[in-house]
Amino acid sequence: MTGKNYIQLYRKGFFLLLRLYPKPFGECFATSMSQTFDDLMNAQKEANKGLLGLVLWVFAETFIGMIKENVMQHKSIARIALITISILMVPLIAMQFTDEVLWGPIDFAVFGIMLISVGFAFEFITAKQNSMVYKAAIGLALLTAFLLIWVNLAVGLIGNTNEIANIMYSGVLAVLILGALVVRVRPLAMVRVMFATALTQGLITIITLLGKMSNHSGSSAGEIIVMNGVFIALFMVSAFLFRRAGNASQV
Amino acid sequence: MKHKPAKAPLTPAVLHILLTLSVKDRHGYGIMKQVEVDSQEKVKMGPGTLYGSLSRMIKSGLVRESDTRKDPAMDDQRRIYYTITATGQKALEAELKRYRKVIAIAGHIPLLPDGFANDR
Repeated sequence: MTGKNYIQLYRKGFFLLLRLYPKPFGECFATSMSQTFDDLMNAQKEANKGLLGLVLWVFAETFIGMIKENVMQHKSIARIALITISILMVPLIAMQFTDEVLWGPIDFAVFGIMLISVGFAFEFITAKQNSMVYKAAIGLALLTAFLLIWVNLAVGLIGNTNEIANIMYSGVLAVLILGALVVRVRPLAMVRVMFATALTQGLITIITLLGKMSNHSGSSAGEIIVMNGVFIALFMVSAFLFRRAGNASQV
Repeated sequence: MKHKPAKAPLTPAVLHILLTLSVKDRHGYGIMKQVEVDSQEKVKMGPGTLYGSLSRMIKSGLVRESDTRKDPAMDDQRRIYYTITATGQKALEAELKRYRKVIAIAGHIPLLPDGFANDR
């Protein structure tokens, strides 16, 4: 292989590397970067120095730059992925030390998809919001809804996971989701949505107790009250945060 | 275009690029070489660092593309030159002022190692 062929090969390699940059970055700088790479190789040749060391250094340096630009371009995606992986590591590590945590591939997949969905929902809703209180309110509402689904899938709030009465909790999620869509997640209007969500959860608790569902194996009346009470409290705290965020934005 | 303000302190790459551009407009390779010369080859910037920094500096309004297009030595009309903006000039001045203050404070500390003191 001649020196010219090597240079063509290096150019092609660099061109391929530049294609891995985010599109907007590539459109702005790919030509200039190629030109700079050519300049560097020309200067090296003129100085009668070998090209391989320079090429390896430029490739490594540009590769790191490419990773950095991609992470910065897709900051929120990288953050969601990182948080999801970190949380999934908890049961994975726990499984190595105890037999009480027994997760199959489907458990990991469902949990991962739920976490990613919540992450994207949070990023999407709070994308144009600077208020930390509003972000906290959204985060808490999403986290509570996430826990409600997860607890029902894992053990079931009433009885066990096979207990059909647990389907009532989809009403809580419906009130939350539809309410948020109708009021377009405006903070003060979300206060009413969160109250309605907490009220729905409370009504389900009463129906469960009046319907003697606490007699089903797996959950006592006390457990049902405590568990539902925790969810109601979390929805109410979220409502309180929405009110603070709404009042602050009106000042 | 709305610029995202640059955060202080500036990164070493951004500081070196601003210093280089404060003398005259340069293209990418020109900046790279000048930074190497100015820093006595202590700072070596590759295309990844250089253009990543330039991208962020353009967004922050520290530099912009220049209307100048031709370096007689390089003779290529397609070359993009970069120029420092008034915001970039201010950021550079503020950063240098900050450095001078740090040096001044360090000068008053009696427990400097001998080697460091001799360098001054």
